[in-house]
Amino acid sequence: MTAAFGEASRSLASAAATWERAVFGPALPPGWSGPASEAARAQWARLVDRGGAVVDRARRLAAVVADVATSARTGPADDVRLTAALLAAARPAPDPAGAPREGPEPTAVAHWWSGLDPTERARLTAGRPELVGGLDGIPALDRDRANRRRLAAARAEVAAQEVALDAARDHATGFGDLQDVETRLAGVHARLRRLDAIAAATTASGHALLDLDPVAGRAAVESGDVDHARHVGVVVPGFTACAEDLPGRVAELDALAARAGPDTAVVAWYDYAAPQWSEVTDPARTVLGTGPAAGAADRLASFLTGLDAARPDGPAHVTAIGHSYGTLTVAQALPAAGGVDDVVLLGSPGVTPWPARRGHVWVGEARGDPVADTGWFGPDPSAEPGVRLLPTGPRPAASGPATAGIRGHTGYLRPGSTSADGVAAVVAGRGTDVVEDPAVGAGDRLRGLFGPRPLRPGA
Amino acid sequence: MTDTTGFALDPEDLRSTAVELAAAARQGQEAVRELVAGLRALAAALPASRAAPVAEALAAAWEADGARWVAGVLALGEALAATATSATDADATLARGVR
Repeated sequence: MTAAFGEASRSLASAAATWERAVFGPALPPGWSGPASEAARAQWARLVDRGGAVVDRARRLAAVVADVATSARTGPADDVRLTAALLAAARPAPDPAGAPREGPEPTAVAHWWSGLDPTERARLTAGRPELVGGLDGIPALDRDRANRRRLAAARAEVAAQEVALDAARDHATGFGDLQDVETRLAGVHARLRRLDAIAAATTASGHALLDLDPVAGRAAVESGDVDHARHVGVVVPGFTACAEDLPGRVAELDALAARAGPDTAVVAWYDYAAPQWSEVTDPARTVLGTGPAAGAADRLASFLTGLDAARPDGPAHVTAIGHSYGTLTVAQALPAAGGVDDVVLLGSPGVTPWPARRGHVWVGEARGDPVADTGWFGPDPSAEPGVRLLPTGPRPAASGPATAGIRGHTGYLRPGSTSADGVAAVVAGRGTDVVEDPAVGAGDRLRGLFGPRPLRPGA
Repeated sequence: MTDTTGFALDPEDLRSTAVELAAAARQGQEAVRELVAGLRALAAALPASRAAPVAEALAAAWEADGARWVAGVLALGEALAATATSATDADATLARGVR
């Protein structure tokens, strides 16, 4: 009897090894890109996921069968154990290495990851960095390691494309060829700029690369330690945001985290396709519509939920901070996001839906900020009942240092400003320290005279 | 947004990847046969157990899954080979420069 088990176990293990070679052996040409390449890579990724899941399940099953094979005789307990192992192998596979897939719950991811031994984690981080780097619920340190690998690989790939296209330009025959090569070179240079900006934003110690889309050049960068800090802020930018902004924004967030206190971490979440000037006339992508925010909502919600899920010592106090169009992105994500305690809306053109965090929604509206007075996506946040108004004007030294007032739309997080000081206090859970500003901008007063703005999407 | 920075490599690279995929499909087919044989051997070794019918069911499921995987890999390989052929003319000038 045990000989039959031994044979079955060997057969399963050998099959798993053959599967592994079949699934992980081929690789699509690394320098090939463009629409056909993207389609082929997506198809191959699906096949690798499906095939890899079978490899993993067959290995686990083979291990149980091999263990039973070492018994002198099989008994009822072995029958139960084998049945359980077979049923587990038959369950729809979550992922190539056992992780859930298709928008997995961060809590499930965290549970899976914490159950792996360090060797398995290291193997996955090195061998499947796109999986480890992109799963919410995995601790920041591991995601950072994986994403830095991906960043370096993407940088090398794009640099190779640049070299090849430079050579192609030298050999171009005719104006059409030359123009084509120049266009592609411009794209390659743009991608290099984005990747270099992400690298620059994560060079200093204390910064981690929590998420990365190496093709689009999007990323989430942490300042501090989101897995252990008591307070975590997540900043979501708005119109025209892109990776090139990251070094400057991360420097601002370093100052914000320092002002908030030692037990604070802040994330620059540039991991969505914020609307751009070039897309203003595109109905699906225009800054005047909800498309880009709605498209990012699930991703942001998962990221926010994953912050708590990945932590070994219980949940953090989490503040979601949106600026400009980013306030709409935050609002769209909140219904599905777990663990968000406070919400900060800076220079907001209105949001839909209104955040269901009564008493914990903070609004900053600087003098002369025309966007904050549009009420484009919903009622003017500063006029909503129950909101808490962050001060933005100058504040003389009193119990703390003097802070500068801001004007316009872009300076809300400027180090040394009253506005950034207020945001830091909220992030640090010291909302009671914030001296609220009951003053409103000129636009609000005008609206008071002429009535609410009726024009907005869907109105 | 779609990244439009791409350029075609030497079509030979695509052809050789297509050959690799065809080999992977053959290996996958072989692996499926082994998996199914292992599971049926297990079921045969446990004639009056609860595990036996589960092993049989799993063998059938993996046989079907494996066949779909093999078909998918073959289809992708064929698509790459076709892309390589069509790219030969259109990208010949650029490919010469890229190489």
